[in-house]
Amino acid sequence: MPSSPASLPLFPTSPDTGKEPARPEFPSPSAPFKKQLWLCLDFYRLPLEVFSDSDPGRAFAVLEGEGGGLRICQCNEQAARDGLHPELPLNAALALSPALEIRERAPDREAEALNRLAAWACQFTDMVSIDSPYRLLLEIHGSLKLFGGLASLCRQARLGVMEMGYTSALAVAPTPRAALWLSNTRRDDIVTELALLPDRLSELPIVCTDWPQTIRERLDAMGVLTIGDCLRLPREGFARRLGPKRLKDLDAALGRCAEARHRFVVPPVYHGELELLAETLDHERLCRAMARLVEEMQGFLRGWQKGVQRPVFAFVHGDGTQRLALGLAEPSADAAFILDLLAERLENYRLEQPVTDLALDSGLLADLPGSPRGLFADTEGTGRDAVAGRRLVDRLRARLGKEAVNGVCLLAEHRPEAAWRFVEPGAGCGQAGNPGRPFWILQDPRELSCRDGRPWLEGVLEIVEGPERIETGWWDGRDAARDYYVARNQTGVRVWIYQERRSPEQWFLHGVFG
Amino acid sequence: MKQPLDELLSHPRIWRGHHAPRDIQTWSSGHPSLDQVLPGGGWPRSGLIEILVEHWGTGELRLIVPLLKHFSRSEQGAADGRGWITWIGPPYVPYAPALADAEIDIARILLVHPQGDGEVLWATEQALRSAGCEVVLAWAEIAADQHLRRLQLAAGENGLPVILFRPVRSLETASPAALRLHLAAGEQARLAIVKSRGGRPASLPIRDLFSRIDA
Repeated sequence: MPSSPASLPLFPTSPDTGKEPARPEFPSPSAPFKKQLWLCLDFYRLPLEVFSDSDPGRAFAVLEGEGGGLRICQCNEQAARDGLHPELPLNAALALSPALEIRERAPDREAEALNRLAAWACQFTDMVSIDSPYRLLLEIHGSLKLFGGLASLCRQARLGVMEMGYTSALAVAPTPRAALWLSNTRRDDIVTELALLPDRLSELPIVCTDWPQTIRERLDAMGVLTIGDCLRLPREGFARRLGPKRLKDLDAALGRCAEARHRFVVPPVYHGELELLAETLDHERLCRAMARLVEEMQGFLRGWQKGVQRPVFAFVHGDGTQRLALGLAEPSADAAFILDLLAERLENYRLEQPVTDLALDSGLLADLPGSPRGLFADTEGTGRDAVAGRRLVDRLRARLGKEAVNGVCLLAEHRPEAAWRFVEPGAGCGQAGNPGRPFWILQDPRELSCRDGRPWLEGVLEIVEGPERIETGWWDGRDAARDYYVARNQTGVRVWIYQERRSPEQWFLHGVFG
Repeated sequence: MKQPLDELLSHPRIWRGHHAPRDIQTWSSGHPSLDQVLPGGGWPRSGLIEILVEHWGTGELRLIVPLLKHFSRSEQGAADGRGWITWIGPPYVPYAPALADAEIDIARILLVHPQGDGEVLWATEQALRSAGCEVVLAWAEIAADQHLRRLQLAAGENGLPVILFRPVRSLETASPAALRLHLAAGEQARLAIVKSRGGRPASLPIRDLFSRIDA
């Protein structure tokens, strides 16, 4: 039996070393915390990937440092093939890869991207925490059932990250600190049981802890190479030599004490910006770059369980900003559908200058159709056909323009030209119509030529029916006093014509019977 | 030996003249004398129907109004019968009071006015490929064979009819349509079935078609 507590291995690690009775001074590993499971997404390529549209076939690198000390921070695969690696001075890099495209690191942009990714991640849980500079922590224990289990949730998260064009390492652990450390191995480690955590963490090298360089060097000098080595050290001595903060980190990682994480607050609207590496007018490239923002917005919208109805796409170029608003007949959170519409709209859209920056604003969020409204859903406007129908309207309008797609409705009015008007598709009201009217109407009546006092339309018009007198509208200054006739020419076309009562020699074509 | 042969011959892709296939799905045209000569006794429920007209306004709408009325009425269940009655590129504006009088549900009319035949055909295909339409009516002066094929394919795959109105000069070119009608106006007004899959050419006077004789 050890003689004094200070010399004890104060972190009982595994059952075979922990045969001694439990010591009351340690927090028990099964402390009564609410069961938690943390998913860490580590976007370790973020400095490079904020420049989303870089051409994978061209060597590209992000630099950091100042003045003459510029060094490679991260580079893409093509540059790595040329022999570039992080920490390489710029001069050496340019010697190895003369065509290298370079950008200076943009920490602001990385922070913005991480914020947007946090908004995206809110689709998986309401507890998302940002761990600067590159990591997100998601508490997912409560979400497992909804997403069909841990494996399925991880798969959806990975897929989402990939669709946005980012790279991330993923780790799952019962404590946030352990998830962060495990993610540093870049091996997609998953540990779900608190009891298994000490063994798994023991294998990790000290470098996975994110502790400062000086601490790591001191531990290295002491021959402490892994977290397991740390756990075998006496608690008090460890705290005295390396600071109580490190001891707390170890306790937090093992779940012996709780660690508070700052909750990310989801902004009420989505706003994303993206700088293009090279200015372009190519619609396909613009759509591809915009895809990342739209995918991000989709995750953001899923978190809110809302949709957008009027997202605004902005294209920034030398002459200013061109904004393209996409009006949807119905709120949507479907990235593929929104991108489809955007591609359609861009075909007829003239960009004045090559575009350097993109932005996307969600505008106000709206309830998604089909969201539960009541116990007994009304049958009106539900079902697959109704959704597909409204999407068809959006698709047609995206290409042909809003005014080219309409519905019609009836108005209670005697003047034939005022008895109907264009409305939003589907808004038409169905009252009783008028009998004896033609199926086709001319929006503006056309004056007919006359021969021998008879109206003429590709031949003499022969009156078949009539007259029907319509005399109304004296109250609004557009009064009509007309005699309507059904007439027919020798080609068999039946038309609806009228004669102004004030000037009987004039005939007008107003409809075709069809 | 006979059974495999029968099986082979009953394959829907084998077309045999003079033998109407038993299983053409149709909607009644609403004109008894026309139903008699159409294969399967009415408009095919899916595929391209071409109606060739000498002048717009010689009765082509009266021909299809009963069909539109049928779609206006069909409200069995939400999934069936809530789609658009889509008009793409009509030569004039359909007059709502007249349509309402003919018992067509004007709330379900979707009017699309594209510019040019190319856009008309594009919009028609979009309408056919979305699940949101009951029937698509389209007007195009010029349509290349491959475009008609695309429409026929899209309508067949999605199981709805598309009625394409074209000028009579298109008679000179062949068409992949399931049904092709020619509406001849004038003194000898006749409706001719130029081509019908599984049927034979026929012709009947307009007088027999419409109860109200306007000739």
